[in-house]
Amino acid sequence: MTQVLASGLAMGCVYALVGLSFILIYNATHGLNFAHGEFVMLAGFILYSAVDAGAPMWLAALATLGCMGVFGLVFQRLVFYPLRDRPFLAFVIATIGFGIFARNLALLVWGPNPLKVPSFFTATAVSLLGATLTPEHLFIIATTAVVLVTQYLLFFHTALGRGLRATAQNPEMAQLLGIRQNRMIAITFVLSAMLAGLAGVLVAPIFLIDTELGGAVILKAFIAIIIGGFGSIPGAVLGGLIVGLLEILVAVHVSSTYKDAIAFGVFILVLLVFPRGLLGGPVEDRV
Amino acid sequence: MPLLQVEGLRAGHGQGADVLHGISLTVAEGELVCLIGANGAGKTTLLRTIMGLVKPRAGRVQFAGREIAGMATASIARLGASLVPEGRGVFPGLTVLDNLRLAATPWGGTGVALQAELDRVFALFPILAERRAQLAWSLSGGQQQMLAIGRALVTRPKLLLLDEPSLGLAPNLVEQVFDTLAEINRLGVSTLLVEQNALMALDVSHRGYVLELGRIVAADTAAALRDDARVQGAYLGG
Amino acid sequence: MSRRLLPLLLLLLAALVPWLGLSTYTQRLVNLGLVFSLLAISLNLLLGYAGQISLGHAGFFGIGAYTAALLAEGGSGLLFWPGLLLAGLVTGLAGLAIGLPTLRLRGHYLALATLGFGEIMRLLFFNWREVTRGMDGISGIPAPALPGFAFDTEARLFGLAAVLVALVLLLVRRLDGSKYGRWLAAIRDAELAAGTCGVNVPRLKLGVFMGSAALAGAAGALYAHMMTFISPDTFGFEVTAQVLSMVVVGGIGTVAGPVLGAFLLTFLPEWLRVSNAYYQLIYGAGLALMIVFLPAGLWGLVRSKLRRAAPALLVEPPPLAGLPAEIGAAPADSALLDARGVTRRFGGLVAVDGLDLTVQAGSIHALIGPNGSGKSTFINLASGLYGLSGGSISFAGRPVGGARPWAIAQAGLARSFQNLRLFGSLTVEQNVLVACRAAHPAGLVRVLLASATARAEEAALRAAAAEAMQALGVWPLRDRVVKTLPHEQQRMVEIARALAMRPRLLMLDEPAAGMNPSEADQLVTRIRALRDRGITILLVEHNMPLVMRLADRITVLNFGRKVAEGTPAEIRSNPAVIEAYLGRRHLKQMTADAAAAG
Repeated sequence: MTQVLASGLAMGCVYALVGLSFILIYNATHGLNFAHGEFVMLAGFILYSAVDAGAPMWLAALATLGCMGVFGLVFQRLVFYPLRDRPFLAFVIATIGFGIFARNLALLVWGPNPLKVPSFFTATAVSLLGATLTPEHLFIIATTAVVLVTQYLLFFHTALGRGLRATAQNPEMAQLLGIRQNRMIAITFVLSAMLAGLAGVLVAPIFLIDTELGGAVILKAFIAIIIGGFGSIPGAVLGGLIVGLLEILVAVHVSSTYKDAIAFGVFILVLLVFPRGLLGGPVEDRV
Repeated sequence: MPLLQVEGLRAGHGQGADVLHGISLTVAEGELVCLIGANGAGKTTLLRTIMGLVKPRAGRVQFAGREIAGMATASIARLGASLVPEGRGVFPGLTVLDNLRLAATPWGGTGVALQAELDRVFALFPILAERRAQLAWSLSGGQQQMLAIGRALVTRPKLLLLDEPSLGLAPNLVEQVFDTLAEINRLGVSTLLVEQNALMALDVSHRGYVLELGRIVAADTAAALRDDARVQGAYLGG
Repeated sequence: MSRRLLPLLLLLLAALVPWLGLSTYTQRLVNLGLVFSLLAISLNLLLGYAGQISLGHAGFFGIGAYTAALLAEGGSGLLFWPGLLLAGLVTGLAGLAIGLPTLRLRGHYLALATLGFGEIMRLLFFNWREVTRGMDGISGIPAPALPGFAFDTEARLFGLAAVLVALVLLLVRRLDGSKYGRWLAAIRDAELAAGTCGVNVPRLKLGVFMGSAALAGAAGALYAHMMTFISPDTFGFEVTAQVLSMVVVGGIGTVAGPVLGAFLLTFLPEWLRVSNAYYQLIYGAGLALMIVFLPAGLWGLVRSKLRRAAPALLVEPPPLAGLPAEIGAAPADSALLDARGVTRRFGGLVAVDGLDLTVQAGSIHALIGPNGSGKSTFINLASGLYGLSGGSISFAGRPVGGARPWAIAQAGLARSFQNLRLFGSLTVEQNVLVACRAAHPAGLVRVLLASATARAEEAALRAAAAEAMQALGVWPLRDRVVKTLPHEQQRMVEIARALAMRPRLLMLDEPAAGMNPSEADQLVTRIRALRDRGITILLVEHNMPLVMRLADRITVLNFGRKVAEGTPAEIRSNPAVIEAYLGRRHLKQMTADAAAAG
């Protein structure tokens, strides 16, 4: 049972990272990035290439995060910036297009066969409090915890974090205080891409890497976001953990075939009866 | 050369007609100048154009010896112009303290220097010190106005621009806000004050301009404007 | 000319297709292009006309295909017809189930919910083996048939599909040019204003969502019978993305664009002769690039080249028909709008505080006060955009507090907005038409059939719009797209639009903002003329000379409360009013001045 919960929690952490990074962009720009799953996928492939080139796993992981940061900046410049003053749907459509582009580019570069990267660890099991656990799962949980704390410190205890939050809350006022909005948005994209990339790096050793890697994770992250309450960062994290645990419990106790369908069922149910989610704000536009 | 010199400024929104039809005004170092006029006269648009939030269509804006027309808002703010917008613009989800600390961005203030600025604001508005850990949305209207003004001071402004600081405040609070503005000005901050509450604005100002339909229709010392029929006319159409 | 000739030309071209000697394979691609045309048209209905998104269209397509396949599997081709209807019905209901909870929320909820729906459907198609046979798919679906005639060759299928597409195109074009099309565009451009123009926004949004879903389902039925075999991998997100691309590439919001896009993207892989991955790569990048650089799509580009200079304006406007008698019918000096103890709080702020306000029928009543005194909030309350925190508002003796904006508008209470909310992409005439209502409205079916009733209604609406446009002097601008007009003219269009509701009470929120004295003079004349025609006016305005000239009665607000009420002369000399506007002197300074003078 502990093993099951640990694996659910680990997947929950991955969904939380992806959901949180998606919401970072949403809060800063009100844009929905439908290429976000491809961010995760891309990180998986980059990690593979780095390992393939002979880098040790830790170095490959760091290199991947670096690449993802640069990628976030380029994405912001190419896809977000030209559409920043256009209606909400324009960015949605452009990111769907970019997602397809990225998936197929990956298919051409890395081929259709699922790729495998080695584990971060040599041991296959560790004992903790009398239970046997997979080191990967513990690593994911621990890394996510560290990242969340770092993220909190960054946002709430640094000048940069204040600038980022201020820009998300009232971009015009932030500019009036000398904060450069475009720079803050670019930094948000970089951070977001790195967090999504981290999720990719963490799941890559558990899953095989192929073009579907992002799609599998992002849909769950969307569910997590809605359950947690759209726009809320703690909500995205909480929602992610709930989805991860729910998924594993359903798979073990009900049906593994329908675990995804049940997750989506919960999602629709939440939308129906509880659109604010657990920690969300208002759901309708005001005058 | 005055601190702020606006010459022949024209501006408008979107594809619409001009809202400002060639405005010229100055604010000298250390002055408190008020700009009064009825709603729709273009007062807010003028402040927003000076700050680069509305792009000027013609004319010049010189601030601290530099041409700032067409410059990005953040750059103008970094030169030392600080606008307290109508509706105050506090960041609702940030604490009082974070709202204030954010304002050190233009001069990159940290540590002791920042703390000194904060202490100055807290001395001016003790209530803000008390509420420093609260989120800004939980403050009352008057307290939010104090926070907005205090925040503008932390930017170490050469020029403070205020858009209707009395808006929505109860009468006794209005008086307090104006006292504070006069006090801040005495400390050496040049101020351009936009107000609908004309009589009280004139009472604390050195000079005033009357704006009507995007044009300056009167400019004089505050004492002279107080007795000028054009002031009442601008509001009540007398 | 081209609007009439082009469809004919296309139809002629289509009739030639079976005789072109195309290979069976090419012919099949043409037929697939037609199926995707239907899908793209259905998505465009939602995306282009109503401005709503669906990322689950493959799910609707699949539901339709499975419904038809299960009904007709191994049976007669005649079953195609009931299957087509049933597929439309079932998917329409699925659309209802998704649309009902999400359409009242912000747009991003709809995007995520439909994406989730599409994914659930894909999982169902794969995993619900008992019904869908999972990966094996369903085979043995008969070719469509009429009694004694089977559509069993590619050429015959082409005929069937082409007729269906032509029919749908015809209906979409009728819809586009009808009141429904204008209402959808109104929702897309300015949802809030659409509501205050009497458009029942949620019902229409839900209706178009269901219609779009049903059409996608019908396309699925056609697809199933055309291919005679379906399997779940045809109904994944790639298909949704592909259809989205077709609409965007062809031209969002145009009638012909989706068809153009559908054929282009169906044939592109053939022309390019590249692997699927390369093709997908190109069209993914194409989708992103199109939306950035050519948001109007290919057809939008073609159309802007084809469109000739705007037709010369008619010099003579049609004669004024005169307002119908019932408008002036309210007995003078009775209370038309009656607000009692109206209160509205926003968090801790009380914007309107226990306000009593009575507007007499047939009068011009001005509501003035300094910025933030609660004037616009009151108008938002009376027009149903805000709910009351306390008190009641009744209009012509009936309570309206808490009613929805469109119901209030239809009851005869119209308004304009302080910060212009026009339907930006529509012409002046179309803007005004959105608010027009005919005495004998035609339902959707009659509109689609272009029945005599529907044509008569449209003529009546246009006459009413012409009248409203003339009353505000915007008739000469009627063919201009409103977002290209200067603000002063846009204000006049807003008032004309409100007038087109044939209101008994017209609430104008700062109509003279930004106007120069001569424009304001003209406005005074026009507002007086409206009052003389029996329309009661509630005027919020800061231009005091204008208020003093126009108003019969003035109410002054400060801090959400009434501080004075009376005739212009009374108000002008009321010290409370002067204080509300000019403020008070600063006590200390005043004392100092007095001391110095003394």
